[in-house]
Amino acid sequence: MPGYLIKKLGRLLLVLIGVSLIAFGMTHWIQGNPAELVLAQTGVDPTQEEIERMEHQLGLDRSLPEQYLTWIEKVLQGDFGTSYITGVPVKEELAYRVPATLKLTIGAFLVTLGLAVPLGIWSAVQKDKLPDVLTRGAASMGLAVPGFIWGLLLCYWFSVRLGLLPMTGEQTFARLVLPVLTLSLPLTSRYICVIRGCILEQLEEGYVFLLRSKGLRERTILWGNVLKNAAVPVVSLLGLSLGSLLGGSVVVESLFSWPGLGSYLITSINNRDYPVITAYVLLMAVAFVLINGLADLLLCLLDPRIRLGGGRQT
Amino acid sequence: MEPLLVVEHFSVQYQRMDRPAVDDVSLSLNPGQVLGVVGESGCGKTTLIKGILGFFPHCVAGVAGSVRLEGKELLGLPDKERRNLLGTSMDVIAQDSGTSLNPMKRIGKQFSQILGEKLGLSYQSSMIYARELLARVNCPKELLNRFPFQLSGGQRQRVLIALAFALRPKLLLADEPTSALDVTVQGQVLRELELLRRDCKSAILLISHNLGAVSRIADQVAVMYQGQVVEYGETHQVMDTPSHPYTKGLIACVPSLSLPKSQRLYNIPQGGKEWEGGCRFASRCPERIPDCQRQAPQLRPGKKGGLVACHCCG
Repeated sequence: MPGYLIKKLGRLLLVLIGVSLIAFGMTHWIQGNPAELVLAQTGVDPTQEEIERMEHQLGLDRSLPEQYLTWIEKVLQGDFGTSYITGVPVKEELAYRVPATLKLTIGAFLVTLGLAVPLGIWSAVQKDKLPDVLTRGAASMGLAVPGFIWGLLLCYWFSVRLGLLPMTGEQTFARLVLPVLTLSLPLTSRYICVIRGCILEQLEEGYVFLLRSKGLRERTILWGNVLKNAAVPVVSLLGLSLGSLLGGSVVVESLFSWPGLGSYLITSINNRDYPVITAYVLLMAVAFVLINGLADLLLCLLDPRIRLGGGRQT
Repeated sequence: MEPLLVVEHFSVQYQRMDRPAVDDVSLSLNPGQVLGVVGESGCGKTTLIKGILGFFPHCVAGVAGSVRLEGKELLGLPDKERRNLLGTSMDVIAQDSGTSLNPMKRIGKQFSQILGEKLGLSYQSSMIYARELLARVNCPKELLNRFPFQLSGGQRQRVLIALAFALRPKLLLADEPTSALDVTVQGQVLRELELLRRDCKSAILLISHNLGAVSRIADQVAVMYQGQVVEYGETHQVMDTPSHPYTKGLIACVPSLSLPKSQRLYNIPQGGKEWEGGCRFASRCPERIPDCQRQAPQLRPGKKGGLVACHCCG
């Protein structure tokens, strides 16, 4: 098990280094000359002299590897530079926005789990009966309609028509409900189908036949065997989904004017505020890597075939 | 004395098939006896076993006849009553030992789960019993701490046999218990089956395409062809003096040490066209007479004892 984890961790570290190189490259190759941008922002006339002075100040006259190393050193200390637009350090802005996004993402993740796990199990157990047909129908609808449409519909029903939940204002629990629901609806729908499929697949396995032929109760077979085995593919998928939840919050945050990372990113992209975009890319990469590392660890604990390094992997 | 198992005019029809997979099969098995059922792949052997157990997949369109265990009709039995019979009154050793154990559970846990629910044993006492069972099939007790993927094929098959005999079933349905094993291990596993039969006084319905295995431990043999029993009698009589051309063909297919090396093995000719009525074997039969394609032969007492379904050799 340690060998497996070390290998995984090493790979994740490589991913991080790769992403940081891409992010670094982005700031240096796509945006044109940053010195000119900064000068334009501060309102100084960009003469040749001024540009050279600013290039020296920003360290742009040094070699690329040197620049990368100074940049990465700063980043590791939490210094992502200063926003071109507002002049506020990106770090400060992040400190305010990361918790907002985390609230949203973790909330949506918990709602997804809380709905999809019981519904998926129920749907699988009641295969082709009324509960299954209804759940699957609802799940198809949740999948077919894009998330932002759900957001608009939920806003209309719960805020405009019924006036139950606020659409704007303070970051209260009630304010969190609609964006969390919007974010989790498509994911819940998908996981109902995934969990149902994984359970049904397990129910076809030879060991289920063996347990049934010994006359064990379906309850023992399901809760004592099938669910744990079906959890393996679900956990590895969840790792990926939690990452895409962070990304998916971009649209929902804009829709509900939630002051999270996503809406910050959208504004920054519109303003070509590269330090912010770079910080976002790096942060997302770190989040992805951490979450997948966690999922791998969980799989390791769950599945002896991975832990002990043998057998057929599912 | 009423036989332990009576199968009468038992038929199973799958959806979208032109003939039943098991067609009007009648068998009976006395306590402690071994009945071998032989035939080629697809002749309905496994469907017969699943039918006796009462496991009908969704694609079954119709079931007819009667299956009685100790005088009790099994067809149409409510699930709960069937569960009480399964394991303790009848049990099965499935074809594929590779998938018959839960890949994510230690062998010991799998024993204790079954013994706990069926015999009400505590974890400690079920471990003691499991150790004893493993010793009887020549397996070290260390296996209890292993996962199925850490066992060899022969060990897995022995664990299945140990599990089957743990509940001392009156009837054991063995579906090709040796066909996935090396020849050397096949012999040992058969010996263990026989030993346990003597210990537990279980009757065994042994399904196999391995004539050697069947002739070694079976008291009686039923030969199946395309869902029907074509010959049925005492093992020595069927094996030494077969009546039905199909049985003769099957026996002639087995290589023998006494044959000259240059002689080619007998090959049952392939049938030319679809079955349109009459004897199912007619199109492949070297001894067919015009009657064969007109009228289906009934199973009736043959000249050499036993039952045989053939127009020309009865």
